Amino acid sequence: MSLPLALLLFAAPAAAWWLLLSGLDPLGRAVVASAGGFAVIAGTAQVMVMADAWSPFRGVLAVVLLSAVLAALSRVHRPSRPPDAPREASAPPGGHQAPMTSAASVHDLPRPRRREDDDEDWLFKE
Amino acid sequence: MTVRQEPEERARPLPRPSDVADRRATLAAAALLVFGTALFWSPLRHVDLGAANGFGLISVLPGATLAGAAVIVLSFMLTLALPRPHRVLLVAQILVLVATLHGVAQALEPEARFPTAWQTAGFIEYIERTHTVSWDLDARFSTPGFFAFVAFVMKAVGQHDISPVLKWAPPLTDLMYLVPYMLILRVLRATWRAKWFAAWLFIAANWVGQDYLSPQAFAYLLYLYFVAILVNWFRHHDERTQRPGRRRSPETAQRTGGLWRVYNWLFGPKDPGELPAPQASVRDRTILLCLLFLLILIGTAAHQLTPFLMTASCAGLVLVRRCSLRGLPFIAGVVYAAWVSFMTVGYWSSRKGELFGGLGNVFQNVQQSTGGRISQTSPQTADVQQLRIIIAVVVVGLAVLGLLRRRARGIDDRVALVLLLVPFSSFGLQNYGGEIALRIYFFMLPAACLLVAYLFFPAPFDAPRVRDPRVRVRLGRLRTGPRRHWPAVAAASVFALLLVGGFLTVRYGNEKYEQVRPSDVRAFDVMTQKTKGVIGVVWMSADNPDLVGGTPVMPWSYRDFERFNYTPVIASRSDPADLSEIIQRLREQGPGGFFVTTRSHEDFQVLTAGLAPDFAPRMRAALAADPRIETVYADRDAAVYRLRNPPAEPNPPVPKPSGLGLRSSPWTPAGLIYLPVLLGVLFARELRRLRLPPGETWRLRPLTVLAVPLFLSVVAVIVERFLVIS
Repeated sequence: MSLPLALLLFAAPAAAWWLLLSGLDPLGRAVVASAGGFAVIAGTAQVMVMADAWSPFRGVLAVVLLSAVLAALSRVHRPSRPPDAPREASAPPGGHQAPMTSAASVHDLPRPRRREDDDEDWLFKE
Repeated sequence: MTVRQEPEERARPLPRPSDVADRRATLAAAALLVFGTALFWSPLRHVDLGAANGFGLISVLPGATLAGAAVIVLSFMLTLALPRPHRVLLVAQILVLVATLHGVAQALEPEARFPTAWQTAGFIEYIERTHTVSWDLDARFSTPGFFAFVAFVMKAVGQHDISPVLKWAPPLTDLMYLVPYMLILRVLRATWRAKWFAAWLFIAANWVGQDYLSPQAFAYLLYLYFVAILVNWFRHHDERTQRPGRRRSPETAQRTGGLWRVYNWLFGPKDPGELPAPQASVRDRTILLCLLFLLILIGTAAHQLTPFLMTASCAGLVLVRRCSLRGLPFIAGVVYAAWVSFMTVGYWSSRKGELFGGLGNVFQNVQQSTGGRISQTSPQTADVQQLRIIIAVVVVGLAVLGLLRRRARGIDDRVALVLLLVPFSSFGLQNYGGEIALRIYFFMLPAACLLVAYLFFPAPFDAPRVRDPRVRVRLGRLRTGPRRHWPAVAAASVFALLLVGGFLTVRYGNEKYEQVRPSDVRAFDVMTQKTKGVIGVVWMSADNPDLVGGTPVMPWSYRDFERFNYTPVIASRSDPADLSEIIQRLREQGPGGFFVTTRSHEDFQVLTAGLAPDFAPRMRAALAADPRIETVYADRDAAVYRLRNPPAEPNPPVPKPSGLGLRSSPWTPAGLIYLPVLLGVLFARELRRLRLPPGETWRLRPLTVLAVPLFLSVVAVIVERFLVIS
């Protein structure tokens, strides 16, 4: 009984990391997600023991909460810039503040993969 | 596992006659695997581990089992000889190998093997029970991350009995190591044979036994993840073929001769040993960088040596231009130094001299780690130790040869070279009771296995089946046609068979005393039930344990860690019936004094310290017959004795948990402010670096200028703490 429960415990943060890293290839994404699962659970336990706040129940809550936050972050996409849209339309990265209007365009216009430098130029070309 | 498929592989329009042969050979390999597994496991039911001699498990394994292991090896090698990779079959073979090599002793013994593993259980149980740690009980409580992790997971899933976890941790850990290792392998410029053989070797060459439920095993997993993420997504984009050095002008390029050949070999044009890095967007790399930072923090809190190796391997990759995160080694180093200074203060403040004694004492480390471990031992145990050293030296030697062979082919394996050399940096660090050489071998394994595989399969891609008839190839018949891989596979098979034989010998070579029998555990249960307070365990040692660094070879302190004290009694070799010393020590322990002996412990004294084989039975008989001594628990495997009339004093109180033992100094509060700010600035600097185009790193200067004074302040606080706190 413990083994499926343990798998479930690790699956939650791992799934959250999986959702977060949408741009990677499937194998790399899976491996990194497993590393992220370890990191979240081990990190929670370490913080609890170091902060003198040991409570497995609250720890599980924290893991679930962290996973939810990570998964939510993955839903907040930075909108990709349409090919000839004006420069002002592009929102800064950082994810959370991305306007919802432009987020919709991600789904409307499935485009081929962006070039590497497309992501980078917003910082230094303005 | 290969990233790029060969065009030949991808386009397979018509079934060729060789496909039929291929399918037949695949079926044969699968059948061999099933046959070998059955042959290995079925005779094991009748094995009597008690009959083992100083060579350990191998001395009682039936011949059929050993033949089964050989068949499993040959089945894998047959799969390697096939013209294309059969991934399902290869994965099945590696799973079987893990179960075979790392699960055989677990399947034979009722309890988890290896007394040290049981102490981990003690730490975990302590955290579960007291909800905190206690720095003064054991140095390992200074890095409690792993114990907290396991305690948390076990409590969260409602697993109260740790023994199945302890028992099956080694095969499980080895399987988990393969996950990040796979990611490291896939970015290398090599054939599928080299990669799968490296993964296979990683299981078969790992005889060190550091994969039990322990902080170092967990931290090693984090280390592999760390390296895998670095080499996959944080490489430079302009890793091209290396051009000849600038000093080589056009006219000197024509010159030949011995010296120039060496020059070319060293500095001539080379292909990188790694494939181009997989593409990832800046957003993904930002997330990965956060994960790397998290892995550093968790690794630092879990083990005292591994974060140093994470730092060093990252720095090494940066130096050879295989990692673009130039600031990450600084981040890792600052985290590590800060952890040591702020969190492990209880450990170092009392041992300042010892720390510097270990630092740079390389010669002594070498001696202790290798030769020093083989004095006074029985010939059989000494043979096993010698074989361990031979295997380690052969693996590393072949790895160096593999590196040279690849280099001779014009391939520059920098990642493998760095991962091979980095573990040596920990040699001068700490002496670890002479175990550091084993750890170094353990940390070299990922690179060493890869390079050994390169020795047999050095090509960056499969050689074509048909060569240009105008070019004369030496031994052309062997090197063309559908069977061109067979000579290399045959040579690799010989090595693999020897390695698996060596593994089964040395990994379980000390099984006579490394196994933990149910009675051993029962003996410690009995003691905790018989008294309420502190338990003073008196144990027999053939040599002075202060000089040889001995501990009882029992599952000591596997629970109620803080209640146990240990007092050695040096055995009077001439007269086993002389109990005066034992009784004297028991009196000093007060009401909670027990004398414990187990069969594993006695065998350890016989095999490593040269105690007479009949010493322990005679001592036990004398103890049972003595009127002053009461037998609390006794069977063939373990015995517990105590005084019939123990003195009422001393009766010390059970120590209360003392936490992490943090201490402050005048500058510490300032350090606690500077440190997070410094880490934040350094981290922001790396995030900025991800967003800069190549060649514009000067834009990082503002952050660098900000980081330097902060860094100096943190260093000053660390030095101040070290000087003030004592």
